[in-house]
Amino acid sequence: MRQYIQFTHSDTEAGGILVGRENISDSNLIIEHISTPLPNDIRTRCRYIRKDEGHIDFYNQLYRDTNGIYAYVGEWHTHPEDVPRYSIIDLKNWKRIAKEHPMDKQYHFIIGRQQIAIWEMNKKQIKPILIGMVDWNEKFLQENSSEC
Amino acid sequence: MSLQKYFIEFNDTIKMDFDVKSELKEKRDILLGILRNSDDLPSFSEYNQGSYKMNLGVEPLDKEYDIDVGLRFNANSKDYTPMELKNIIYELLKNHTDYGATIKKPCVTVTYKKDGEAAYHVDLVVYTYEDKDDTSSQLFLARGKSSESDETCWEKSDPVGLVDYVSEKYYGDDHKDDREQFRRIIRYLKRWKNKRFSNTGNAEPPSIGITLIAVEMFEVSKTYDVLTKKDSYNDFDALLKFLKELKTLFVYVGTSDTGRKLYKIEYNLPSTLKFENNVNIFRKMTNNYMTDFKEKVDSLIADLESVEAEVDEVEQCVQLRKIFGDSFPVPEKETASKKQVEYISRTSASGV
Repeated sequence: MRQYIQFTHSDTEAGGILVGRENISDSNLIIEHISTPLPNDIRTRCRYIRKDEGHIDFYNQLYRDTNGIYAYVGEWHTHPEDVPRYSIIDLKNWKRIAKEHPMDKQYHFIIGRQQIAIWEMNKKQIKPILIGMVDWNEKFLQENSSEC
Repeated sequence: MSLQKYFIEFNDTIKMDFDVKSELKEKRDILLGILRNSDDLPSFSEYNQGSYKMNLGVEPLDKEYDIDVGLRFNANSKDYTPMELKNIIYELLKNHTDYGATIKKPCVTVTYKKDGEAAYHVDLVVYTYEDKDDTSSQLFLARGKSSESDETCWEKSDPVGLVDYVSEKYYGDDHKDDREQFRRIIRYLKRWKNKRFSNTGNAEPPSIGITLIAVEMFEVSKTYDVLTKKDSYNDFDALLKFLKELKTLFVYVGTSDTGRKLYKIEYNLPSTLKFENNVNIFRKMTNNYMTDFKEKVDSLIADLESVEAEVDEVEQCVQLRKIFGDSFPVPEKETASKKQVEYISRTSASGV
C-alpha cells in the first residue's frame, strides 16, 4: 500500500481488496493479503474503480488453494489527503457492499499521506465505525516490507 | 488468547516418556542387585529422588537420560569416612558397563550406552544415618571426590523431606489439575533452560532451584467456564506471572571490571528441612553466570510479552517455537483458521 501513497499531484488513486483469515480460538482477524491495481481498473487523481476481474481471480485462487480459510474482508484505496476521510462516494460504495455481502462485517482502509484509517461497516450500521488511525511513521515508510 | 492446546501438546512431547522410565528402572534395579549381593557393603534402602520421583522429568535434548537414586545405608555416619562407601560402590560397578563408573562430588555415576551412544546414567547418592537404629535420625550425604580434598565431608541432607516438600504443593486428588499446571510450567522452564544454557561448568541454574522457587511463588492461572462447568487453564499466563516473580529475586550487586552490571540470586533450601543451614541452591554459579541467568529470564519475559501482543495464533506459535525449540507445535494456517464463505464484492468504486 505504501508505494501507492499519493504524494504528488500526478499520482492517481489506487486500491484493491483486503483478504484475511480468523483464528478459530479467539476470532482475531488477520489481514494477510491484498490485491493491488490492475490494468483494467479505472484510476484518476480522485477516483479509483476496481473493475479488473483479476481481483476476483486473486481472491478465488487464495480461497481454493487454502481450503477456504480466506475471507474477503473489504476494500482499500488511497486518497490525496494527509488525514483520510471517507467521501460520499466511498460511503455509498461501502453501504452497497454491506448490503450484498452474505456476512455481517467488512473493514475498509483509506490510505492517506500521513495516516491510514480503518473503518468497520456492517448491515445494521448506517455510518461506518472508525476503528483506528495509524500513522505512517518514518520507520514504516522506510521499511522494505513487501506485505503492504 | 487460546494457546493452551499448543502448550498441552508441547508438554506431552517433552514430558519424560514412560518407556524410558521403565528402561531406567530396569537399569537401576540391575545395579542395586549387584550392590545388595556384595558382602562389602552394609544393607540399604533405596529412594528415588530428583525429577524422576517428582514427576518433573523432561526429555533431555541430548537424549542422555538420568535417574537419581538415593541409597540410605543402614550405617552410622561416624563409622565410615565419606569416601569409603563411594569407593566400594565404584569398585563394584566400574566394569559393569563399557562406559564404567565415575565418582562425582554428590554421587557415583554409572553410564550406559544405547546404540553406541551414551544414553542413560544412573546417579547413586550415598547416605548414612546419624543413628542407624533410628531411621528418622539425621541423614548425611557422602560428598566428595577423593579423601584428600577438604570439601569431602558428611553433609546434612534430607532427600525424602525435599521430595515431600515439592509434592505437598497442590497435594491430593482435589488439586490434581492445579498440580498438573504447576508441573507443566516447570517442564516448560526446564526445556527452555536446556536450550538456553550450556550444561558445562555451572552456567546452568539447577532445576531444583527453579522447582523450589515455584513451590513458594507459583500460582495457578485458570478461569471457571460457566458453560462447561470446568476450569480452563491458561499455562501462558501462569508461566509469565511466575517468571515475573522469579525476576524479583535477582539483586543488583555492583559493576564488574568490564563494566557489566552484576546480579545475584539467593534461594536457600527450605529451613524446615534437615539440610545444612543457609545453603544457597545457586551457590555454584558465579556472579557472571547468575547475571546471565537474569538476562535470560528478562528476555524470556520480553519474548512472551511479544507473543501476547501478537493477534495471529499461527505467528504466536512460531514465536513460541523460537523460545522453546522444535518441540513446540506450530499449526497449519488451515487448521488454526475458521472456514469462510467464498464471496467477493464484484466491483468497488471510490473517490474523494
